[in-house]
Amino acid sequence: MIKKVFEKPLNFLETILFLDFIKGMSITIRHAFTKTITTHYPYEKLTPPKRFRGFFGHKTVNGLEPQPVFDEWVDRMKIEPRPGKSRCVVCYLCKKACPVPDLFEIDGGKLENGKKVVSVFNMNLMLCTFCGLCVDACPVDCLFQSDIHETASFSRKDSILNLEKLEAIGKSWQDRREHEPDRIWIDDDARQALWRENKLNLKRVENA
Amino acid sequence: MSIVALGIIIAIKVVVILAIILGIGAYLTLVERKVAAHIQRRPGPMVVGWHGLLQPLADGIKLLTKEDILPSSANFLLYNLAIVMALVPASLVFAVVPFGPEIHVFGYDIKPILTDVNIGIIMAFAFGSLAVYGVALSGWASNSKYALIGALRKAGIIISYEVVITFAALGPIMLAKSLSTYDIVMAQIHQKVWYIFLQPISFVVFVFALLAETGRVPFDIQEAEAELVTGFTVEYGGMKFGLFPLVEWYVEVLSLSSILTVLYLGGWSPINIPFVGFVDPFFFLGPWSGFIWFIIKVTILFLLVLWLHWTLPRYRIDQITTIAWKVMLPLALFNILITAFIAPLLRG
Amino acid sequence: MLSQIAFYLFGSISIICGLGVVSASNPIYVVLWLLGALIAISGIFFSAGAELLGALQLMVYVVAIAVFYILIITAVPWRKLHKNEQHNRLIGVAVLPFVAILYVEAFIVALSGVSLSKNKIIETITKNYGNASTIGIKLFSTYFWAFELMSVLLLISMIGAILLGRKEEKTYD
Repeated sequence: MIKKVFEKPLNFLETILFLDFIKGMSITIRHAFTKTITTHYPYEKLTPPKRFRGFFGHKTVNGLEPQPVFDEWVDRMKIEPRPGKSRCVVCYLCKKACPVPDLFEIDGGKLENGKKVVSVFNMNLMLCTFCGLCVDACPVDCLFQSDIHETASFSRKDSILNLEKLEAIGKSWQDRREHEPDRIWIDDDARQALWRENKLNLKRVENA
Repeated sequence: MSIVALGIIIAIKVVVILAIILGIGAYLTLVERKVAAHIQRRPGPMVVGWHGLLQPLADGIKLLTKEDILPSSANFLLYNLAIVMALVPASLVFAVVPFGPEIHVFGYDIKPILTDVNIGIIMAFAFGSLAVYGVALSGWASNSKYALIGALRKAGIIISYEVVITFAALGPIMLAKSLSTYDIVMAQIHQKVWYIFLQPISFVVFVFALLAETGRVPFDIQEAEAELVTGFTVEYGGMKFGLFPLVEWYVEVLSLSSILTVLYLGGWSPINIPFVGFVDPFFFLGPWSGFIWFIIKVTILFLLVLWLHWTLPRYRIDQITTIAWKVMLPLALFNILITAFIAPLLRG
Repeated sequence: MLSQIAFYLFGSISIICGLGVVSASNPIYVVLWLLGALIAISGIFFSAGAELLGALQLMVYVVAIAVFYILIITAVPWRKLHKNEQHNRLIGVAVLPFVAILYVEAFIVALSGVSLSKNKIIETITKNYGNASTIGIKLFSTYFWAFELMSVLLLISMIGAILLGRKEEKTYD
């Protein structure tokens, strides 16, 4: 059943005095003389939240791996974990999870001691929809989505992420944001100002 | 006054008026963007020049250097003719607008009006509504459904509101007993009253008709972005695209605001206390204060139009024609009836 | 002298535009030629000193009436309207004698030199009261009967148009 709801109609006096016009115009003139709330984008940038789904990266081996899962997978896939390098165990689960067939290009290389390391890891972001299924599939918390969102480039070559780029993104993200508490909005001052405009008093999170 | 001097004076007047129209018209885009931005709590253009002061130049260069595209099945002649037919009548209206009192320069008495014809108001309305052909032809020539629907809507609005605006203007004409724009202002000065105080109904009707004729909100259905992309300009590109809003939103608003000022706000006369006299804070400028007052009045009207534009939603087409024929036209006729009783009481 | 040049200029423009009206095949061009002719005729009025008539010509014929042609023709697919085969040539030939009579009449009027009034009454009124007053005085004195008749006729036609155009009551939900 459709419920029809009508606004209370203006009476005759209100109509001929343009009361509805005046109401709206008083709001706009008040806004016209208050301070602007815009972020001047190329000069000022807001930090995205930690969970932001931006460019992909590989987290590196730095002692913060999820245990005991990481050790189990390293044993299973006979991987040689190298500190400061990618955590990838060459399990191909991200490739399986991806809805696009040709997006990932993964290969492992053999070392002299018989163990494996990841040698090729290409992601063609021209095909990517940033759905994050590969990130969910990764068993060792290696592949992740960083806060890099300015992804425009001048050539199509730049949209292919190889292992070096992924590791570089991962390293920089780990340096900047690994220890940040996981919450949706960060306590950026500009963002706080925006939220205060909406009269939503957000609680400040201690020990950021 | 010799014929050579007359020719030189007319040439100067034409050049000044054209420079005002096109120069100011371009800069009004910046004013509109700034006002719109601040109403929406944005700062507007800030990068090019101090607070975006050079933005119109940048826009102009961008539009001029863009590729000129002709739609494949468009009519080449009419497609380009439409721009001229939109621009010329809109700027012709300024021929009958008196910008200030008679001034004495280099031994000549000069009226700052291009032609003081004795039927100036009718000329203004005739030229103002001639601009509809630009819109109608652009809609037809670009061979697009959006453009055609926009053009038809605009033509429908113009037909309705041309009647309304003429009947609304009859009130001040009856009070001033003249059709000449210069004489209407002089009559207001002699009678010591702005006609807005005697003709409030007609003033409101005129403002509505102004908004409708210039395609401003709440009557902007001919380029309703949500339904028609941008209406009749949808197939135009580059500077051709830039000229239509320039004409419709700025030049026409300026011209009709000037006519409104002449009819209801006493033209170049200073602040009015009805039936008592005029108060002029700019008395030290002599006859030049008239120009300042005219500019102030037109600026205020333009800002009012912008304020309305960025506040209100838009009417439907059937609501617009209903308002025109069932509300505004009877109001204007009623106003004429009242005016017929008031007019003999005024001296002058 | 100047007004003579203006008269011949506007007259030739209006004749050329009139030829365009009957010879163009695309209906939208026909309307454009018609527009040009009407504007040129209003120019003739202006050059003859009848500013009010010229302005009314602009306002009523050029804007209010010709825009209806544009409105209708733009709404119709124009390739169907293209006058490829002429089926109205017979009418054109039949009309020719009447056109000839019109030209003869114009010739006689030009030869005999008919003016609006003897003793230059109209001229003095125009000088003293201006264009609009002159027309008002003429309409409400000499031609009062015809004027009233015309107004009644217009009223009747307006009522008829409204009756014809009226639809059954429809409400938007």
